[in-house]
Amino acid sequence: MVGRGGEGGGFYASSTDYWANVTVTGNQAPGGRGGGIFNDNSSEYLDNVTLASNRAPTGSNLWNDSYTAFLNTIVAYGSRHNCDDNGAGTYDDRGHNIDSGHSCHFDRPSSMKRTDPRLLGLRDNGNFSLTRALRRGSPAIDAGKDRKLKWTLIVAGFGSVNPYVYGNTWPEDMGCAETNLDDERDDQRLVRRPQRKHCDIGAFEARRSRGKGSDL
Amino acid sequence: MLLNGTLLITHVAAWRNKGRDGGGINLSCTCYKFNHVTLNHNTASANGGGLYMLGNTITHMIQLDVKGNRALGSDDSDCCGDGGGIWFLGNTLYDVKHMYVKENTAADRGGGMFANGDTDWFHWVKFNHNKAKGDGGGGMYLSGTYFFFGFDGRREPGTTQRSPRRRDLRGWSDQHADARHHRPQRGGQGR
Repeated sequence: MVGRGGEGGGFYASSTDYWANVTVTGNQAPGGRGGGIFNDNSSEYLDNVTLASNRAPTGSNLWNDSYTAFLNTIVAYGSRHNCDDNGAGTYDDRGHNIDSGHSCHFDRPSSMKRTDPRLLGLRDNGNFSLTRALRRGSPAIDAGKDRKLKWTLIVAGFGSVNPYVYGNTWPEDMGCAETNLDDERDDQRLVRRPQRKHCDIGAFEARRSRGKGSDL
Repeated sequence: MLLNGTLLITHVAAWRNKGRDGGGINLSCTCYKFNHVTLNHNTASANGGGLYMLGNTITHMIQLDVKGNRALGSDDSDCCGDGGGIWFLGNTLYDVKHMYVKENTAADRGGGMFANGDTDWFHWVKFNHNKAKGDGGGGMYLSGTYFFFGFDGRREPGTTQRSPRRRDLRGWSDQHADARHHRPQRGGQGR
């Protein structure tokens, strides 16, 4: 249980969660911590996630009390520090991440801090959900990790079901995540990845084609 | 509705019902399918304004519209007010797709959903303007093991942000949340 005051405007997570091609934006915890996600003693794996423009006095996008792994993820435009913790938070930079500030401890050479990902506002860019597209010239374009591990069908007690998981364990380091679990990589809108040489960072993959149908 | 047994639940709508746990539906079943269910404006005096699930195994949970439900936490017992839209504990959910959860309110935790489950998989799930007035999780309060794919958690664009207020947790948003394919029916638990 956390203290009063409201934590986790979007999510309060006290478990183990795996996120792929997810946009968390515009949430707020005005009186507490973690405007986007509050990680309370759990393990969070963020893969191709756009975590941006959330508001809280501390940990505007993420409050990390425990362990959070980032891969191909954008953390940006928080009202204060993007990431914050109680001193015990572990930030596992698995590479190819962007922090618009420097509070998320992205130290790998492939990651960027103090870098504007050049996100557009939330809008209908096609398919199921609203997304935040990348502006032309965004450092997120063509900068993601490409390696993709093969997923295998898990067999539950009641027969084979849809979810796939790598080696019956956490898909911790998939890279260039897929949304549809059809063994094809795609973004939140189900646009195929990559559109260029490499995947884009974040939940949005900018389509390459010129003119109509292009995202740039 | 209080449902138990081995069930296939499809094309069900529950509007404006009241109950202690699960204002719309209180579910205790082994369900192969739980599809095309609309739960709008139901009220629980304890937990799970729209849907309350305890110890279920559901392999396909597709096309849920959960809107405007409330968990009041006004019951006399020592619990409550969790899961404005959905409350579940000890469930195993596979293949949860196209669930729209918006404008639900919890007196305590998990405005849209309070989730304490086993391995649960969510695809293309959207949350919009849910509120938790208590400890946390405007959109979702999670305790368990979860996988999210193509999840959309954000505020509706163009919505005026209210001035910050303590313990007012703004939830997430969607755009195509109206999945009301079916005429609403009354049929709440009515306890």
